[in-house]
Amino acid sequence: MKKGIRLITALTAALMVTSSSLMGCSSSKSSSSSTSSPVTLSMYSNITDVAFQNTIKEIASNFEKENTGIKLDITFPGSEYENILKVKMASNEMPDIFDTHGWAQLRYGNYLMDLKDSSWVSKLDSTIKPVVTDSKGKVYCLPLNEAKDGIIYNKTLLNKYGIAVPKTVDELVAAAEKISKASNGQIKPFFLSGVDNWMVGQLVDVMATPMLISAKTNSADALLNKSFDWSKWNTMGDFLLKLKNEGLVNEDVLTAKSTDLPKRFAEGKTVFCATMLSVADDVKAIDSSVELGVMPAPAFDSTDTPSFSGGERQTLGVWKDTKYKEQCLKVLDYFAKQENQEKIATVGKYPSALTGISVASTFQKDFDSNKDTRVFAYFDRVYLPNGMWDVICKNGVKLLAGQIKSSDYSSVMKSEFTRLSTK
Amino acid sequence: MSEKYIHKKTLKDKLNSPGMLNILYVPVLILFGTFLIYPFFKGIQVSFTNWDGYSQIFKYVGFQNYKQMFADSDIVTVIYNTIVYGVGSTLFQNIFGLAFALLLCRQTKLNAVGRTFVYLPAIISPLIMGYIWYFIFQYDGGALNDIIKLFSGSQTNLLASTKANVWIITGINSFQFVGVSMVIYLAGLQNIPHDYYEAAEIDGASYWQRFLNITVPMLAPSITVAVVLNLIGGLKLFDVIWSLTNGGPGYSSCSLSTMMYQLYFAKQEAGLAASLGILMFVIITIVSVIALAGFRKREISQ
Repeated sequence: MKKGIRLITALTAALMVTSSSLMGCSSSKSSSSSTSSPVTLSMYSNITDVAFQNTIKEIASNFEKENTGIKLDITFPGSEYENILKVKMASNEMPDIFDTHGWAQLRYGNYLMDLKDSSWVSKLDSTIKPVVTDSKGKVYCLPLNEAKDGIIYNKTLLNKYGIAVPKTVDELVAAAEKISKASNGQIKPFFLSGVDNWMVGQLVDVMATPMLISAKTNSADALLNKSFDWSKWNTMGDFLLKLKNEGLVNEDVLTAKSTDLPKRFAEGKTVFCATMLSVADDVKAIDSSVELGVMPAPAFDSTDTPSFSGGERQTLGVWKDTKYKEQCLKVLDYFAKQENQEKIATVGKYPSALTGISVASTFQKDFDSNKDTRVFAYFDRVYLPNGMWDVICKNGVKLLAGQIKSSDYSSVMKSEFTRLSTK
Repeated sequence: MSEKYIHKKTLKDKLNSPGMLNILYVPVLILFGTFLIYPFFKGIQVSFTNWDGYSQIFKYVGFQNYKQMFADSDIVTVIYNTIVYGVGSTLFQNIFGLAFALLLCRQTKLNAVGRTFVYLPAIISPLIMGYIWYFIFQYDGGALNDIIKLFSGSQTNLLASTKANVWIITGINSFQFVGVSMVIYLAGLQNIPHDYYEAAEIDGASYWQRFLNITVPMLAPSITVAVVLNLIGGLKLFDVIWSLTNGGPGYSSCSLSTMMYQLYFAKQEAGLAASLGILMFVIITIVSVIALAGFRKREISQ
């Protein structure tokens, strides 16, 4: 009897171990793609704003009601979205539908299906069309909205101190100095985060356009044919250092997190920050009396005018190896419908990428008053090779920490630019 | 006439033979092979390529990644940090772990509560521990600054200081896992026969003499286990660094694992990250083998 129990226990243990080791292996999707059997599509998005996520889920459930054979399994991984998708790309197992957040051609291009025959392609805005279409006419994704980024500012504070929206860098610094002095140094006008160093990258990115691209004589061609004189990047380093050394940046810049920002805006401790428009909802949740606005990045001298950085913001692309091509295209068509685009534009705050959609959202007044402001494609997506973003962010933080000088910033930008361009 | 009875090997005998035990190793070998050995050799392979971590294509570049790694000035900082995290954590965890074990070894109710409280931090995720301590060290509104502001009116940003932040992280890691060392030493202490202590007391030995001549030698196996475990865990430190400082400012508080993560995902340099991984493997192996051999020798000589 004892021997029998021992044998059974041993066999069970062996079975458990073997089965648990097999559970780790991914199961292959072997279901047929016949339209009659219920189909589940996997959808990934990097949207972190909860209200926006709920709108997407709402549109998805409406889609499921109208298309009973298709179910949408949506995942919002949050800040680890890009890393998770990199791992999925490496194993060539992408979600059926996913957000390309600005990198449809440069990073995800080889994994995306051509969408050029979709009905909404003809409605694409003239500024977004060249961003999501390549020279051969392949359309890489459906843009759910269009980026129009500059610097977000605390309208309530600017009004309180009677300052007009700055149009040049000198006016911007002067406005910051005025507020800093008037508050006896209590208010540090600029907010940057060293831990979430994408914030440093974001400020550098939107300011790089006025610094190098938007003026009449600019370095656009030099950057594209790789003959750019990188000592010109010293201006960027000097700009950041000027803000830091004059006490115009939050004192805990090296250790602050991006999640600290809404509270600082709401408490009137921050005036300017280059970040996403979704921060407005978080600020309203703390103090609904505080008003935020978005201004285009100011020009570096008075002969030039301010500019927005534009391109993809949230998008939906289809994996080229998906087993459910028709179903995925149906989903994208549904998201492109007028009423859904209006819902997205209202909650996402960025303008729609399709023509004929206009809603009254938080920043609409600022977009309307900047109707004629030029929109340039994001600097790093056009002029810098893939992989430079981390260089900009990390070395920007090192500069603010006093670990490197402006000239070091420029020389590391140059060496990484050269190294990554030839990969 | 006596017949020689030849015992034929029946199936039952074959199943009961010692050799069959080896079949029970098979599941473990499969697991080891799949999750330890295969990734290790794949890592070595990747370290000789320029793979970016997500494309389907890559090129072999020989020793370029290793050359780039050793030429990087941040590497020296990161290796130094890793050794501080490893050796520093081990030191604090073992000194305080032994102290707690000696303090709380008697079986009283109060001691049981004390032991629970000392061990409690070890059960939560190190990532969460980092977030909890961030609220203490936060510049704006952190508990530490609230106290300092009461007395001196100024605020301090310890996590931004490149000298202090590594030791703060070491301290928090030690705080979290000191309970683990304590448990190991408690078990070791319980194995020391009381007779030795009684004999020593009769001979007039002081507390320190009893501690140094009886407790420490008899604890030699426990010390080996605790030190080697803590060392390996400390050298691999990742979560608490990530949640407190993200390795920053710059790379000043990065350990080899956090730098490897950032190289792979943020810098899209999978080949370089793999070479760093191999370096980490070599360092941890050398340190662990030296520690293990050293302590085992002490055990035997005791």
